[in-house]
Amino acid sequence: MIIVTGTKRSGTSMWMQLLQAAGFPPIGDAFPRNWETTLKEANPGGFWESELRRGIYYQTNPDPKTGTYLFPEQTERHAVKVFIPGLLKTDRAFIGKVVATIRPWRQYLSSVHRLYAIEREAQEATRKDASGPLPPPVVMSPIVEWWVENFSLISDIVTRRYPFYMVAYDSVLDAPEETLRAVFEWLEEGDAEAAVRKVEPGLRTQDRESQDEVRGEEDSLEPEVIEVFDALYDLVLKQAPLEQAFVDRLNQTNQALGPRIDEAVQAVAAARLERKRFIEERRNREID
Amino acid sequence: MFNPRRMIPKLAVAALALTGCGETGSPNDLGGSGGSGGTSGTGGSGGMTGTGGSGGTSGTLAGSLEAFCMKLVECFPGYYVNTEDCVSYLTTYYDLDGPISNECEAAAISYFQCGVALTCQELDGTGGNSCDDEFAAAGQACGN
Repeated sequence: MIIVTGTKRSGTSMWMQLLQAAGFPPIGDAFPRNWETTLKEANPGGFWESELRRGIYYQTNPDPKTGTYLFPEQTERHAVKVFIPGLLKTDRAFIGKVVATIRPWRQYLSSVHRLYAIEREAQEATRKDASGPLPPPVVMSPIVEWWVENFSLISDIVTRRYPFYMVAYDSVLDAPEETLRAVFEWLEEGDAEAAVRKVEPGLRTQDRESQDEVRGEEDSLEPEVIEVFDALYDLVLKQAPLEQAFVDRLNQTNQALGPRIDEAVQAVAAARLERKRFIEERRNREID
Repeated sequence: MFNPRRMIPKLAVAALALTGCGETGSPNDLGGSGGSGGTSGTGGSGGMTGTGGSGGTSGTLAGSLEAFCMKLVECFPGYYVNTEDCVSYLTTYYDLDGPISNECEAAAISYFQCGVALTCQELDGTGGNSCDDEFAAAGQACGN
């Protein structure tokens, strides 16, 4: 499969649209069931998601609902969106080529806050009819999430050595022709011109100036950490090669962020457990 | 549950191109033919450990040599101390640490890449293997 990966809000849906326009059959629905009422504003072009976003492995293939099994050899040309945690779980046999998109971390924070706000609003609206409000959705600290996912992606690439192309979100919007031609040349097929025509800079809902709201989070990071975050994106933007010295810096930064990462992972696990308990209790009450 | 990775392993090549890197064949084929779409390439950014000196080997040559050595170390444990030792030996054997001709570089890459694709059993074959032609060509082009 041609796997499109990245963090949330990093341009994975945009890449799915581009690949589809170029002639690659997509796996997934552009518009999830609740899209019209909840998420349309966050991504007018649709999300192109499927169950496989959680990875292509024993829990998702065969499809747990239909039993349909996707064979690697039958899906070589299919494009599918898989988030980074899912890619780490994906069986190597299904990884044909990976297009990995990355967004600047400040833009990511701003965008993801906006997405969560939309989701909260939608949830508030449905709460009015609900018998008891659900605990808030379980989300990881966005700043930690941006880092751990991109770091884990690079680690996975270096470990499993699958063919990949890492592309900066801004490159597609700022220089679509050059960027897309290079990617489709690497893919060795696909109508690059059709994909170029599909790029809509208007879809980018935020500009670089609207990120004041994340300044507080930026203050929580040490200057040397910010420097590495920026350098990582810059490396992809400039398409510079990843050298061992920079890998060492990434490892050092990850080590320095270790306690914060552990705390965020544990917080998510605890919140998930609480949400699960709440749902079970409510179901039991309904049965009684 | 997402278990973030704790570290990035050591790179198996001198530098990893972010633009269309990776192999399409064997997992060991590090320096293979992937990366045709790369604009910045991996080449010439400093050479790999043990082959450095004056400029080091080019990215593709270094990558294919290291991949070949990883294969040899895997197939013949104890023959070389480690991959670096093998790289050092073959670099000296083929005179790759100084200026080399285009013919030598192309022939060496061809041989290393061919070797990487062989199984350990094929590499160990006393009657030769399907890379014999590449081996002879590399020896001739690189002056051995």
